[in-house]
Amino acid sequence: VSLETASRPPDAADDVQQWVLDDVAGLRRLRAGLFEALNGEPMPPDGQLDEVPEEVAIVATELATNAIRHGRPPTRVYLRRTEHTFVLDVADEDPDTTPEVAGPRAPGDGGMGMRIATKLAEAVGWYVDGTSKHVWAEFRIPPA
Amino acid sequence: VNTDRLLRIQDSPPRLLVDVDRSDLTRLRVVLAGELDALGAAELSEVVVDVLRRHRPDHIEINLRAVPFLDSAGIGTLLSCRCAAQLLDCVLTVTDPHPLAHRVLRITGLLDHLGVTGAGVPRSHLGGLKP
Repeated sequence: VSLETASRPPDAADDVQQWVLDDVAGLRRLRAGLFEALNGEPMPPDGQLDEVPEEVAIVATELATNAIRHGRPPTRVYLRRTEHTFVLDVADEDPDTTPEVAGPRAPGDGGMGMRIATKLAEAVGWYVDGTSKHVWAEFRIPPA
Repeated sequence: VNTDRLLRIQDSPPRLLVDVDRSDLTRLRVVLAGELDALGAAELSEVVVDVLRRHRPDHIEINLRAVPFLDSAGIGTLLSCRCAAQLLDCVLTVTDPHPLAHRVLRITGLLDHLGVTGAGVPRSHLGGLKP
């Protein structure tokens, strides 16, 4: 199953931080960076981080692993935010292949990672911008 | 050990700690702490193959209580360890998963297949974090 339509992430998001990855060895450092960045972000008065950093870490790993394994380098990971959401955007230089989502019990390929991503994030989509393919995932900051 | 805090404050990226409880050689417990990603998965796989060879247990329990990070690479390895065990008439199951690991196993439809027992309670229900 392909992710159904090409779609853009929410427009009004501000940049928080970005990372460039060459290979899967960079994934642990990416997660450490994401934890640090997310924990340093101010929360809205009615919100709390709760399990968002753990969810973002898993989804970022899946999207970046797909980009590294199936896309073209470099892999860029952007963390952005609005008041009540965080947006992860993972880009690679292969605009021609579209992300696939597997059904349950299909381990070992990129499809299982996308399935996990679509279930942990509030929304997942993808779009092409010039020579880059972007897969994004949105996370809502839970109420306190 | 509060693994969540560990993941957040360590300077160097954390790794997976693998501890084997050999107090019952027919039912070995492999207790993991940290991140079960592609790198950790390779470590786990090595340990499971080693204890299968050495002890020929009837049962191996993989305890995921202190594993808040489980990705598709980690899941792939849990499945291949289960297959390796099965070939030697050993049942491999997952016990006590961290709530996040439990969610990932539920999402991927593997709770029954991996014989998951225990935990899966949201962290906020365990007390200590919410006022």
